[in-house]
Amino acid sequence: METIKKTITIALAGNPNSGKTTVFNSLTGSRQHVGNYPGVTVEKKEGYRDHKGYRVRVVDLPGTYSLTAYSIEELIARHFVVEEKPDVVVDILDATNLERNLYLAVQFMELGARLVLALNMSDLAKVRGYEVDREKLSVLLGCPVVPTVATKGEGMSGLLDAAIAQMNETHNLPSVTVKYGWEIEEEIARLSSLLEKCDELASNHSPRWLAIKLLENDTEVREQVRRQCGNSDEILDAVRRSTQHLETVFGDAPEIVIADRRYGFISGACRESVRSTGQSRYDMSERIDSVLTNRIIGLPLFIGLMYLVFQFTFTLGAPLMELLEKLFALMGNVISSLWPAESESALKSLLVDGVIGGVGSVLSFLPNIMFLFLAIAILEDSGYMARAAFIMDRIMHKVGLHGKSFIPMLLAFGCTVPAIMATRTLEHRTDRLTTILVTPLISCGARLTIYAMMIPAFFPLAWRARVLWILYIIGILLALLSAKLIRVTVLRGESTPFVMELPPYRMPTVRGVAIHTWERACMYVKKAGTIILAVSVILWALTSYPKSKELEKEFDREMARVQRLLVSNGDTGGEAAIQEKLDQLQREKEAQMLAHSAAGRIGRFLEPALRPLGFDWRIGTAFLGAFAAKEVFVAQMGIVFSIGDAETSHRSLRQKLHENYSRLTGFCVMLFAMIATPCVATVAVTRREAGSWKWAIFQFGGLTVMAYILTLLVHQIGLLLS
Amino acid sequence: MPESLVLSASLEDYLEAIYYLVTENRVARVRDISTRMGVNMSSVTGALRQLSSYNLVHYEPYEVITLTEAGIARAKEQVRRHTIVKNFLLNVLSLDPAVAEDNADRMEHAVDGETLERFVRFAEFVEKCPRGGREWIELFRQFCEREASNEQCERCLRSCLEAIGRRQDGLKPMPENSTDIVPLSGLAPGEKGRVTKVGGQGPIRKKIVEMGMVRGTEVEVEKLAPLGDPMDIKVKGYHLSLRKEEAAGILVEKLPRSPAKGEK
Repeated sequence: METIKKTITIALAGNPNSGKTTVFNSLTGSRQHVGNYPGVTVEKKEGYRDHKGYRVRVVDLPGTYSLTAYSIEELIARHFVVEEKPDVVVDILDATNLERNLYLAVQFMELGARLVLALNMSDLAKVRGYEVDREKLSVLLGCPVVPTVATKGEGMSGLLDAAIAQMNETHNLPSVTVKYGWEIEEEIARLSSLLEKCDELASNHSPRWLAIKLLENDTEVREQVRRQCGNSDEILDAVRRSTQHLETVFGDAPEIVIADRRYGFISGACRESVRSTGQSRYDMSERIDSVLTNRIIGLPLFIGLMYLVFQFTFTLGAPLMELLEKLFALMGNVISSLWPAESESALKSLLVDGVIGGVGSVLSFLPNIMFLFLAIAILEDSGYMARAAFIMDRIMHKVGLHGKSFIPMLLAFGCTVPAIMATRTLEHRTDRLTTILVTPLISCGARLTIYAMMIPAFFPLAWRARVLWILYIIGILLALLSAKLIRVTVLRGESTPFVMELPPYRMPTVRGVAIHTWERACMYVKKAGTIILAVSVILWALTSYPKSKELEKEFDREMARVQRLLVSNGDTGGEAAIQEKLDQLQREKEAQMLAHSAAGRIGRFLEPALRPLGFDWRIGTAFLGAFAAKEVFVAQMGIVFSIGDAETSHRSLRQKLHENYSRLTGFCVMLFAMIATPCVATVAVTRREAGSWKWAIFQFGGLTVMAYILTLLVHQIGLLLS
Repeated sequence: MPESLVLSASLEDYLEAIYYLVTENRVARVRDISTRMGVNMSSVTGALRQLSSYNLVHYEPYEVITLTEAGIARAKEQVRRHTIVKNFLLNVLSLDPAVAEDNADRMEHAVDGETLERFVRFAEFVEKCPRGGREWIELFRQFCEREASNEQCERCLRSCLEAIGRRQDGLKPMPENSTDIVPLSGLAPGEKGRVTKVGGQGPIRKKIVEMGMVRGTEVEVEKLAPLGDPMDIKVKGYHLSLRKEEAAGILVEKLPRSPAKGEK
């Protein structure tokens, strides 16, 4: 038994849908760790496994089709191979789709990586009628080819054996290179010899690879040459001349010809090594697709499925959410009981109202998030997600979004937080950012509680449903308009292409779905949760401090007086009335304390700015509190109007609202609530998913400004008309 | 015949001459050799002595000359090479027969063994596997590394048509009768085409090509999305979706429809 284990690092690469994640899960089991690649929001998964005296570290590279500089995932994959120099790169190939999968493998060969190819889903390939001569393929490509069936965990040990053997292989790599034909080879040779002189770059990269990348007009390699090479002018000038020369020879850009040639090499290798064992049997996946993306029933089926996802996420989540809320209320009570009943300890308030309230609001999203990601994992692993995008793209593309933006936006009707997390399914950053930025405009469930309280206060029964619809539609329109606006301003640029694989339908595995869901839940709690908690505590402090000793004393005296009255007065009818009076006093105390608090002061301070919208300081203060969570607005309004628990006394709050505000103001409040200031959880999750505070602040500021301007317009025009 | 035996160019010529004489007259004589090669008889006897010492010919003064078994093999090999080189010059490079003969003679000796060997292999390859395209050169490399099987060459031939089509597209920007060239977006579901050009520019174009839409690839429009856009296109055995605006930049040569889907 060895005491010191040798560690070997394997980078797992492959096309999306090649079964790479399944291989990763199969290899590492539960010993994995999810993080991010430094500086970007692309996930980095790592895991360990012991194999024959080696400690194998497996790093899951992002799933890509190529290694260009056009996408962040592809850049990350190639940076990892170049800079961190894994001992072996294992490229997972979908054996049922070998040609396209080999395109990536060929590029790893060019990069000079020690490569092992995993012929995954080799069982399916056999069913489809392909027989791959692995020996031959291995000779043609110059690297070992190992059959695997990751869903059944088959071939994992063989894969590791091959990786270790490949690592210990001493012959010089790579033994096989793609030849691009003499015209291109000549230019490659010319550029290589120039690049060899650039020690800083050539020490880390193969000159041939650099030359090819330069001919492919790779922006990153160009930049590297410019920065690191003394003879950069000479090199770039040579590249320009070579490119021009090749363009005249081929009548096409060299990057296209190079891609052509790679496929030429690959189809040559495939012709040699893949044998079709007769007519392939009927394709199950195509059968399923002929129903699910059918011209006529495809759309209704999609809507039905989305309804199911929505119900699954929010209906199944609701009882759990309530349970969690009860649990936290109970916890609050237990902790409160540690102090004497009358105590007004600041620590108690911090713990019960600040911390437990905050943790409660973090965790109350958890059931929704878990169920949502369970649903999304099933949709993605089965292959339906791509179809959903396929079906909805026509509409979403009109506003500069991608078909895949639809699902997050739909989920936003339930809750913005999981919706923003669902944007992870979008591959392109611009699409993803745009979707994240506009998602809060879709009215979420919490805003519905605001509408539900406000609408009956100002509108007659016949109008109510209509007003609600109008609000929702305004939200949707604003989201679409903002998306369009963002795409022509901040995130300008070509609309991202819809060049998307429609992968074959596959049965999701319980394990894959479970791991996926669990990861998301952990990520939410760890990353977004901490921010939400911190802000919740700050908001608690803002609405509780500073306290006014005089006010407290005054109320205490008054309450003590009423108390005495209760004791001296024997009859029961009076008791109820006095109790009522006591409660009233308590509520008034809370209202005045809130008015006195920092939040109240800010509300007053902002009042001049809010006046033109028809808002007074009370509404301002309530909105401030609503930052913790939208539904808090209702509770805060209850407190400022001394109604007490607003949930149980909607009627009296509505009465108060009706007395104090006009119908126009009521509508403006709802409009403002809909557009402005996403809740803290939204901001936290945006920061998390967009990767920087910049976007979270942009979203926050943009929405607030938009809300202010629109509400101002509506209010002023409304005043003019009435 | 020992592999390592290196004969001078003139000795090779003698051996060849004797081989021809022996096949024509069963035996060779010194005089015949000297007439055939235009050298004097003493040079011939000198050469014969050397060849005999290499055990390639049976030679005793005043006796008829025959080849040993090793000599026959060696001579046959030489003749084979000569013929291949000559045929290559004649058939592939379309040279005059006389010029071909003359050059073949000189080439045999002027280049070193390995190069000649590779050249012979190439000429052989051209004869065995007649087709074209870049991959063909790649195949040649593999042919040199291993013995090529006939099966392999048959497979080469099968894809010959495809390669020729691609090569012609590369040479001519577009066939004259271009009525069949349409944008991919113009194909109806079920229709097939062969990619002739991927238009557009920048990352999108590159991406489309990298997903397998290379020149000469056969594609089939599987269906349209329920709302009419994007399209589902079958390429290289998998399904790719493209918006119509993206597919509009891809030119394809329309191909006859595949047999009905449900067919067994």
